[in-house]
Amino acid sequence: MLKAMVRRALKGDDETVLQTRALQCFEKEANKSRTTILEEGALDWMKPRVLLRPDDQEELTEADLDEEVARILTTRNPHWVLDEVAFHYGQGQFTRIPKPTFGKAFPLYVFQGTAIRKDSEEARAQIAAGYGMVGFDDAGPKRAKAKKTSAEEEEEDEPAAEAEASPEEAKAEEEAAHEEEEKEPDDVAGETEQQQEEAVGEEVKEGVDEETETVEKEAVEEQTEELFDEVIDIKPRVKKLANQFNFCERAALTYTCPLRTVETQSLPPARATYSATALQSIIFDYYQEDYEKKLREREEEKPKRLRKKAAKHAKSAQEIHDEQLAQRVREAWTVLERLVNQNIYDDIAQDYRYWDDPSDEFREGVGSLLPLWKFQYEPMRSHAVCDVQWNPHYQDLFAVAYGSLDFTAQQKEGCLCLYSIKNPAYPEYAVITESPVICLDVYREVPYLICIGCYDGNVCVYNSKLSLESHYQYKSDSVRDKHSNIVWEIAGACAEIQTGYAKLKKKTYQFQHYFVYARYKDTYRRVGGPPTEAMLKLVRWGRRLIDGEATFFSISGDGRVVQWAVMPGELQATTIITLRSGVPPVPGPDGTLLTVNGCGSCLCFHPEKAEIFMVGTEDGMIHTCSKAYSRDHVMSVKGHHMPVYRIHYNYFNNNVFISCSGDWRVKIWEDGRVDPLFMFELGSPVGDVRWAPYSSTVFAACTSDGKTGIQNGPGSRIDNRDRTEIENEAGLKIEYGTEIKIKSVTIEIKNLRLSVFVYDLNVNKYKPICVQAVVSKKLKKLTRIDFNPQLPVIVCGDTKYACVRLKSSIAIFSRLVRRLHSSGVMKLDKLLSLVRDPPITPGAIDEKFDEDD
Amino acid sequence: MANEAEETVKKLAALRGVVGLVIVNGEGIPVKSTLDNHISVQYAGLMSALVQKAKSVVRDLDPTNALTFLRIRSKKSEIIVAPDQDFIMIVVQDPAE
Repeated sequence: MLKAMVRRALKGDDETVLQTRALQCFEKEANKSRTTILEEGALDWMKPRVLLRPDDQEELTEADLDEEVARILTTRNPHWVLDEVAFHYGQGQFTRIPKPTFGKAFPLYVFQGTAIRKDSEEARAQIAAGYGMVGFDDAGPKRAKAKKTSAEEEEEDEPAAEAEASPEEAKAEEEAAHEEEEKEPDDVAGETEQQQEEAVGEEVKEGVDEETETVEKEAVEEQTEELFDEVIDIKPRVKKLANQFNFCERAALTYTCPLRTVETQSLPPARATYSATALQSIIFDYYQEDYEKKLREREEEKPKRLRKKAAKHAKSAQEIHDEQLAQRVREAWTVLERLVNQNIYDDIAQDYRYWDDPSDEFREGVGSLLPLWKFQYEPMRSHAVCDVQWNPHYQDLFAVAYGSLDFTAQQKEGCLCLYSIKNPAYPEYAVITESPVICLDVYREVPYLICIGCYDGNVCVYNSKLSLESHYQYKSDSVRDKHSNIVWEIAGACAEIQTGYAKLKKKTYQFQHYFVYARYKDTYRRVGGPPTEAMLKLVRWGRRLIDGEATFFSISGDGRVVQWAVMPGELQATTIITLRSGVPPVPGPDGTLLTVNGCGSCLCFHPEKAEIFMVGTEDGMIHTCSKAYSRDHVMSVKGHHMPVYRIHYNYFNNNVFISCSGDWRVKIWEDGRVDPLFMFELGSPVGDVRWAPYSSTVFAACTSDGKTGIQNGPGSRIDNRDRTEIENEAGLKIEYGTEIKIKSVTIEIKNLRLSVFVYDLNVNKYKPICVQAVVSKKLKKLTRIDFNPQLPVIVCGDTKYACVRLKSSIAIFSRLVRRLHSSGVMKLDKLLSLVRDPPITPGAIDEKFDEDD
Repeated sequence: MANEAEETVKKLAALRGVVGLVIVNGEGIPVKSTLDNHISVQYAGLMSALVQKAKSVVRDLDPTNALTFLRIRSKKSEIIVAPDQDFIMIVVQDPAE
């Protein structure tokens, strides 16, 4: 018996251990799953679930938890003992323990059923009592209690009167109940049967005295809490048959889960405020974008090889963007600069088109010039303007060549600038050249191509479209082609230079006059007059060659006229003509005779006959040449006594041209005539003369210096006789020397006046219609002048890096324009016919001048 | 380019009557200025807004059109603005000088 107890206890232990393990395993699982959830972070708001566990729960290690406990269920009871003995103290010996009645079976749980056999005594009794008949009753249900426990059964046995029994009795009863509970399971089965029988009997009794009993029983129930009751609704008078199919209804309450409210707050979703305005332009832009995208897609559909070709040339998007940005920035700067200048020079901007001198109304035949802007380029402070020319295409643009006319202190570099009247403060384009620029010409067909002639004898072609970093587009080959500076270099130190200079008899006027010779391959050639060397005197664009190359011509102090063809990548030079001079061969220092070349100073092409051109020389000759004859001149005229600075054909009559010279005179000539038609004395060396583009009879001249009283007209003049003498002296008086002697001759003039003269032959043949003093500083000289082809504006340059622009008064201009339209050419013809018959002589002109005086 | 910019700024600032010059980048920050810092910032901020408005006015009247320049003439000065999508150039000039 003890053993059985022990076994049971052991069994129980086993089970508890198993239970603990199971629990711990479960707990572990739960923890695991919880951690995974936690790791996901989605449910971190949840309250952690903690498992409740008893305090005395066994702690197991991981290994123990993981250990598998195998359980085998068999039909055979391994604990079965065949012969069980126990020591009997009464008998004083071991006796065999009687075997249980149910054999090897081991009852674990005994449950009392309510079904009874029909043919049993009990059933019969029930039937006799009226149970088993099913029926309905009008009266409400009544409650009856069925006592199941043996304790109550015993209670039942006592008479009803004893219901209010003393507490002692109740205690005794309780003890009895306990005893019964402690009965061995072996005995339980037998007893159960007994109890059943008793219960049945009791129930029968109950049916009789039900009412009295219920109250009492409830009281007892409260005392004995261990016992449980079952409430059965029994309908009275309905005989319920208790058989094996007739079950009692039992209500059971399952474990109810307590309701828990868990609240949580999730993270708020991200928010952003978005607002936009749908303007028409924005919609338009999106449409544009979409259209471009479609185009690009279509482009991509093209076959690959086509695309590859395109990709080769395409730059990266960033590069394109940068370039465009830089371009836009430059444009913005240009415009800003112009706007600022517009504010500054507002009055001039107003004037230059609309200014009208009211006093012109009262002065018949006299006009006026109004100084407008002054263009200066600071880096060229010490340079002189050697040439100015309007751009043929843009009427507000003109080109300026910065060089130096002071040949004793020659500048190292020059500059080519393009100025716009819209921006007087800075040149639009300025490029520093290696050598001072003496002359320039803008190509009429391609207005951004400018050819320049440099002091060192080189010619260059600049493309003003290109940025300043990229230099000239073409430059003449300085070894092979360029004008005779090469002579200097080859002849080197041993070159014998003959320098001659003449002094004017009148001390107040001294003119510089040199001849420079160099020996080159056994011949002495005159390589320069005053000023020196190979300096390019003039460049002029010519007509295109037959095969389409642009050409330009240059003339230089070495007496050569060179044609330059602009070939791709290079300039090709052809010498058109070498000028002769009237000077007989001069014996050199070693006895050889020197052939003296003419020293060209200016060049002018016939506006219609492309092969005819005129050349002015340092010694005052005007040669008419043809490209067809490179040996000889077509015609030579002794035009001036001093270097010819400019020859210019009339815009309206191609037979008439004008020339100016350092001998203070301006002469108008007709082709084929030896004598000039008109002659004007301006009282100081005339730097430049130009016909007006809008009238056949108007020309403007600028003088480099002069004396007072010029505005009276060409009244002051030098005796011709003196002039001849000076010239003779200059040509013949030659001093020999081994080094170049160039003496600057100071010009002593008391009242320096630099002026622009405008003549209209139609109004007054003898007096200028207006004289404008442009600069008054002593050291400045006017060098060049040019009419704007469209606007009534003249530009002239001086030796102090400034370009002054003058506006001819509206009176002059409008009058001229009117005449031009009526009888532009006829007017000049009429004039010419007057002077042609009889042919004028210099003396006659002088007489006329005298009359004017 | 940077050198060129430096030179141009110097050139423009030297012109008669020019009070100052501000170059504003696409974000409305003055990147180059000859004015005091706080004035430049003020100009940059105010002008960016005005330019934006002016641009939309021009574009809305005709979407194919575009604003190129802006001149604001005031009693004391003239403000010349060159707007672009990537920059704004502002020149303040006193024309009476």
